[in-house]
Amino acid sequence: MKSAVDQLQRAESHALPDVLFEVPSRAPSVSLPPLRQLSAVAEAPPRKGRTEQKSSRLGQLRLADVLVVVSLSVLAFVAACAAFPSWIAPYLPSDMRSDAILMAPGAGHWFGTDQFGRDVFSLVVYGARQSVLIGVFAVLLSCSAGVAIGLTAGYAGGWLDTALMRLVDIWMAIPSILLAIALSTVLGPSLINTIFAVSVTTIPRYARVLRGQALSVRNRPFIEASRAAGASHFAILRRHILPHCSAQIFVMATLGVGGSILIGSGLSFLGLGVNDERPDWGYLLTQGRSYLTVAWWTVTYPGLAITSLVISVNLLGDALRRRFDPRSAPR
Amino acid sequence: MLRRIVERFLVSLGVIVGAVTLIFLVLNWLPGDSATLIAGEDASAETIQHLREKLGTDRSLSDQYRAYLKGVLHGDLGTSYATREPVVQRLAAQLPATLELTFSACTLAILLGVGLGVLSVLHRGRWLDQAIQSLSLFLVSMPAFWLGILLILLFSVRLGWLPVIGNGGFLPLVLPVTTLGLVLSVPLQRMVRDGMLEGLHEPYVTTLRAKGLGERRIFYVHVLRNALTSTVTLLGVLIGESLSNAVIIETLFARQGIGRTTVEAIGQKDLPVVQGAILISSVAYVVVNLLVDISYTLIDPRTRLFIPKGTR
Repeated sequence: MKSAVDQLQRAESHALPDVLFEVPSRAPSVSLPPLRQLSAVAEAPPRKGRTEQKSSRLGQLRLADVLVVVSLSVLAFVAACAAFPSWIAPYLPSDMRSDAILMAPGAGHWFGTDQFGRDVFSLVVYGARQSVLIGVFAVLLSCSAGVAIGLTAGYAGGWLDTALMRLVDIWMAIPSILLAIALSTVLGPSLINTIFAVSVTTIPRYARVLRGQALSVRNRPFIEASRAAGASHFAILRRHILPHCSAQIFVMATLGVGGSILIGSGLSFLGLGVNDERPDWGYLLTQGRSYLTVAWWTVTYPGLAITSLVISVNLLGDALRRRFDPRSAPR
Repeated sequence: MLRRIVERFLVSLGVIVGAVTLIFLVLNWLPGDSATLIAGEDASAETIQHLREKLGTDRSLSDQYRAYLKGVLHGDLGTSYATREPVVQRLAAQLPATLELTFSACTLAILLGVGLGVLSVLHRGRWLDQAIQSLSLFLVSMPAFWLGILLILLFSVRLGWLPVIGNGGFLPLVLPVTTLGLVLSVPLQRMVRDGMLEGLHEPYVTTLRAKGLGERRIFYVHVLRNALTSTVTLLGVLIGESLSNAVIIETLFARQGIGRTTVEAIGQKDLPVVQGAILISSVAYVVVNLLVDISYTLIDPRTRLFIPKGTR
């Protein structure tokens, strides 16, 4: 509310300078009556929104905390599935029962069975590992490469900056899924290649943002001071600029995990991912698509698994962003 | 002004040449030999060598690159390994279907994005805003093909209103366009919402109120217009995303189009077609971005006054 009053005063000082001379603006008891008159007309709707917002933000904070707890539990469960699938899944992904083909969800098979008589719940549990590995390692790879490129470009400036950023422009001109498709076509389907293909497509995003960050920090006094003290460029990058951007990197990486899982699942949906006897979620969806009209459960649950994992990661990323960057707090 | 446009044009040209080179390198230089891919792992060395000569991949990389670049300049993207058809011809036949899908989806995305963005600003902090924000969280967190599958399950399988697959006509287009449009609308909606919420607290709004302008007019004419101006920059991203997602949507709905042709070509290890399809998408992306950039200079006079270096 204070800033709105300030703004009004500023606006008033242009329109009615003599009022401002008579009434000292620092004394609200005197200056408020005319202001309130004005604001009663002009400020009414936004003020209503603002007070409401304050009360709802308290409620929202509590909701946000609940959401973080929920997402952390989803992540913990998925991590458990990825690490020890045999403890959680009632069947092996290779268990085919010819007497239980395309059975609807029920007591014996919570998520039903697929066209080979495999238990969909067990398949989903066993499929978690691929998605988690793709999400985590693709981000580790692309984030470190992107950070290295971005910080170097932003800190160095000059021709190196121009050259690196042109490269990033070119990189970004190729639609991401198409680039990932091209890479995994050439490299062939395997987990490592999928991780590589996904990470290559996401590097430019990190590079762009981190370049901006480095650019805004590099002329600050503390950088100059350490340069004067004889620190090498590499030391400055590692000890000063990198820590300065760490919150941003952390938030971007968390949000990037969700995106990487989505690209990875898209690749395996197109048949370019890993498809050994331990099928991942995207591949389960491809297979289930052929039985869509008769067995909704074969396509619903793997998709639900991807979506709940990615939503949890994204909620966590949003929470981290709110924590580290108060400016982006929801209004 | 003109200098800036010419400059942008030259840069875009450079980006296109760079993209052609990058795609060429990815598909031809990385480990993985197309002759081996086509012949299969257990083909004899002679067969592979023969195939290599036939495809022209036995030449040095720089020779191949020079030949390819020369071809691209003459509008020749090579010959399909699978159908022996010129790539340009094969892709041109598929282009209308993809354009139909992406244009309709982008239109829907713009309508939805702006509409929902304005709606959530009008109801900010209340349940409708929360609902729209939750919807957009869901939409960015689910794979596009799963959204499509859910829509098929609901509207085709359960309700039987719409056909699952098919080409031509309006009805088969509804589900693919809805899927793609919903996915694409999220960034727009977020940008409109953020832009308007920010705009509502800018000094010029106060000035307009002081002038006695009605709230409705301030909201729709001034604040919305300002928010939309910056949304124009998103159009380029929108095109890139829609071309990316078209591959998946076309495959899911078994529609014709560049995307599905690409996926088929991958199955047949038909690299020239894959290369051509990616090339066309990249060029489209760069061209749209160039147009956006130029129109933005025309729409927003501020960008003409000073161009902060590196903030483009």
